[in-house]
Amino acid sequence: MTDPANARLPHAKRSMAAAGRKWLEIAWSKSGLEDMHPTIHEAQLFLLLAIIIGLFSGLLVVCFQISIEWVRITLLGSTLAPSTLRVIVMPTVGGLVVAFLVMKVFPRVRGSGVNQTKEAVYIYDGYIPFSTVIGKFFLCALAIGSGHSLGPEDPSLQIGSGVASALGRRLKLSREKLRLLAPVGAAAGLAAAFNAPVSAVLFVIEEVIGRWNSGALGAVVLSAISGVVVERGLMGSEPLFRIPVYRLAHASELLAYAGLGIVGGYSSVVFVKLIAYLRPRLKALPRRTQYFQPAIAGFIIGVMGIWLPQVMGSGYHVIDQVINEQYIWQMLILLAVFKILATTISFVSGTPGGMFAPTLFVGATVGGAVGAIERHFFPGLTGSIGSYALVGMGTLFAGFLRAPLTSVFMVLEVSGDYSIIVPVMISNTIAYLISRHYVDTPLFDLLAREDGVDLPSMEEQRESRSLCVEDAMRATNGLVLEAADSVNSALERIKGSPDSIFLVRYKNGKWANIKGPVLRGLAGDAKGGLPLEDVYTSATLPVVHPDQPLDVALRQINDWPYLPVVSRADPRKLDGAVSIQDILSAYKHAPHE
Amino acid sequence: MDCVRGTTLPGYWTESILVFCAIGLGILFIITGFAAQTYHAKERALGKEWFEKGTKELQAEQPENAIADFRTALVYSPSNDEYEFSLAKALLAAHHKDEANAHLIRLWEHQPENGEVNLELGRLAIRNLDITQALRYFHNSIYGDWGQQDAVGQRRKARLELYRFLISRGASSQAQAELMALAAELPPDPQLHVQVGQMFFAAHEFNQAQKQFDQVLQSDKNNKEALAGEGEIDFESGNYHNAVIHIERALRRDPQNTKLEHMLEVSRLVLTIDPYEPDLPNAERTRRIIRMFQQALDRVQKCAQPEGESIAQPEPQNPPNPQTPPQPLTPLQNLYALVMKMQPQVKDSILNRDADKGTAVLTMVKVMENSTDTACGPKASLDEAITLALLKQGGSP
Repeated sequence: MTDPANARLPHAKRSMAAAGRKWLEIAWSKSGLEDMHPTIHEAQLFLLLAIIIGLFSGLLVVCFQISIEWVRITLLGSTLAPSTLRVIVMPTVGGLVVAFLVMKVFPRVRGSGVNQTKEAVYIYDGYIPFSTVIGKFFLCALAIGSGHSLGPEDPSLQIGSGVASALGRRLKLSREKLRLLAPVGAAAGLAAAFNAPVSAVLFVIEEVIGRWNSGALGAVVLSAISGVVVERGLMGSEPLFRIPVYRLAHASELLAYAGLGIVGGYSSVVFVKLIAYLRPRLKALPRRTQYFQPAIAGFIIGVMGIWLPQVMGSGYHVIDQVINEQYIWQMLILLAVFKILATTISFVSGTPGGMFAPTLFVGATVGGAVGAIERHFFPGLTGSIGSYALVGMGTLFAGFLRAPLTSVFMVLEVSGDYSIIVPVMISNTIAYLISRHYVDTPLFDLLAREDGVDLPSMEEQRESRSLCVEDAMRATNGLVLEAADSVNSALERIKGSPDSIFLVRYKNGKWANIKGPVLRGLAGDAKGGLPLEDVYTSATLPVVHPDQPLDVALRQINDWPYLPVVSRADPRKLDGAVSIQDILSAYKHAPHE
Repeated sequence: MDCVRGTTLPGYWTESILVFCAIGLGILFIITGFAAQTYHAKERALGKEWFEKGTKELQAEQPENAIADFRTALVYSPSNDEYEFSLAKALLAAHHKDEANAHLIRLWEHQPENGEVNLELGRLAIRNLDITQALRYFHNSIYGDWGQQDAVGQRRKARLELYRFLISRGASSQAQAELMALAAELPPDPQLHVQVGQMFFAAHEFNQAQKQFDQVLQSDKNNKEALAGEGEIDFESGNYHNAVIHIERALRRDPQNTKLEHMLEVSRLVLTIDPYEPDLPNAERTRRIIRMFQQALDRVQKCAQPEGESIAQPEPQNPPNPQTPPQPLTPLQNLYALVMKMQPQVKDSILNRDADKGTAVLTMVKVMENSTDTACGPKASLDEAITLALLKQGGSP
């Protein structure tokens, strides 16, 4: 067996690794622990590993956040409005350095990190090279710190999954577990970066795994919590934003939140379409231009930053200011427009960095603008503008990233106020529907397809309709024999029936089947007057229910000619029967998604 | 792409990796912990640096610059209430009411008992002319926590501020309640007692005002403000003897005080002209009545002259011209006609004999003074003294 980690090492290193392993083997056998130590099952190891991954990811994400801030203070200064020279030069030079390193040293560092993690899960059996983790860490810190309009969450997600992958490989976990480990690390990284474990778990399930897998869920939750514990322990337990108290001034204010959903939905559409339009065109340019694209993007962002320094970097402090009503609505609209432009330019240029923070920024500014405009025209009908900004964050998340469940829980988790749920749900649903109407493919799927990778679309998976037993079952025409009936009366009932096999119903709700010739044989043996249950013994038939997925029937049918489909309320009540031909026919005629 | 197949691991391998993980975690914890500490220290230092810069800007009355500095400070120490409070004050100074309100409300949610925050919210409510909210926040401030500051002094200042706002909004009963509460908690500080006494005086609470001035004079009998206050109370209460005494004493300490000088002059005139003074001989009383009548008549005549109005009634036309109807008389002409009718009876001999005539003359004097009051502007000191002397006797002027 080849250890893939070792396979990539040069010969000298492989020899050293083999020697180390040999030493460990000898030490282990001499220690006497071999007989004493309990066996660690892979499932237990997986959960333990989830905690370790969470801790490692949390620590790395803390370092990552500190690095971004350190780079920002060093390059742009501690002020919120850096000098014109710095604002122009730093993102440009930062872009140049980042582009060079991406092209020459870390080619897999491009992009946000979400699709790369999905690729690891669905294509590379959970494999993420550790060099990608290192590259992501340093290049994103440089890009975001120098002022590129990108966020640290998606890179943190990839850093977490990279750590998980590396540990899983070291422990030689099975391919199945390795595939599951990447999302486990992703949840830890995202949770630590966003200081929101529930949202991180939901996002990973909604966008990376795509289904509620009980095997992964426990590990994902454990790792996310571990990551957040480390992050809060080292960075403080203060919330990401100072959240004002939510209050609904009047029930009719919900209409304003619906309006926010519409504005947020259209903003998401513009944002996605802009990226979808520009990214393939820039990628199609000659390869040498990719050395300069991030620098040009940095220059353009720098020019914007002369007047609007708020659009530079991840912009968390600006979101906080928006939530705390520090901007007038005209300024909020300007910030939203220029943040969309700055983020699009940064992202399509190939600069590594995430889309979460910019999405939240645009959402907060759009929400704040809607709230401020409403207050301007209907002062009595508006609660806190900060609440609109908060709801706006979720709205853009729903419309732009198309993660509706995460978008709702993210706002709840960030605000810590469950009374905001009604406006959030109204606004998010409207934005999500508008986005779906105008943009067929969600952003991450779109990016993957542009890169020539066919990753499973989680949205399509969520919405695909699985076939149920009721789609395949057929009526039994009443030819059900009661086990308590005599053999002769049973023969009388089946007289003239074209079927050769019949279902037998027992009083206790069990089912069996009997062939016509067998029944006639029992009558010939002078057992015609006896009850069927006394003279005929057969294996109990497995039963299925109409609402069960069809693959359940497929797995249970084995060699039985057909299975009884019974009611959940009364196992003696037959709703129909399903045969292997029925199942295959249902699959064959099922509409294609 | 290589991938790992499921495999049975040798015991030492898994456990060794886990031990290495634990060691790695420990090392990474130490490194990250050190980095985080250094980072937090740097953040605190930057926050403090920007806060101090902002404080200087605010003191130099450059609130817009201060706002930018405090905002930067808050980026590095987002939960520092002191920084946020300073930002709110800078925003208020720059007239960004809504934004300041948002910060103050947030601070209030953190510390609803904070006296300073409540005071600023109360001031914002004053700016918005919201009496209910102003009362709520000012009371929170008065009964709130002032931390290391001089709580008693701060509470007193807050109550004084609230009182002034209430008076300015015409909420006099609420204002007086605040003043009563304020007076009950005053420390033995003459300046404060004088200030509160003056407020009581302004609110026409003369008894309360006098208590405050008396308290001051007990410890400093020559306090010019307290003496002036006592004098003004005596003057307003019609106690002109005492007014003269207190005002004279006050003027000795404050000779440039023209208001007091005028009050002293009027008080003295009242004492010399008051016909109702007890134990006054009848002849003197009559003399005073005649003097008052003459003074009032002079004022009526002088009052008519600047407007070119002839005070005498026009002569009736003979024979009367039906084309030109008779001109209606002005109020002053009517009054003058009545006065002229009465004048022959305003003599020592008549008034000495008939006390009722004296009363009628004084009533006419009152009417003349009142009529000229509305029509002819500020009075001379003697006219003022006449009005006060007649007012002292009772009835509306």
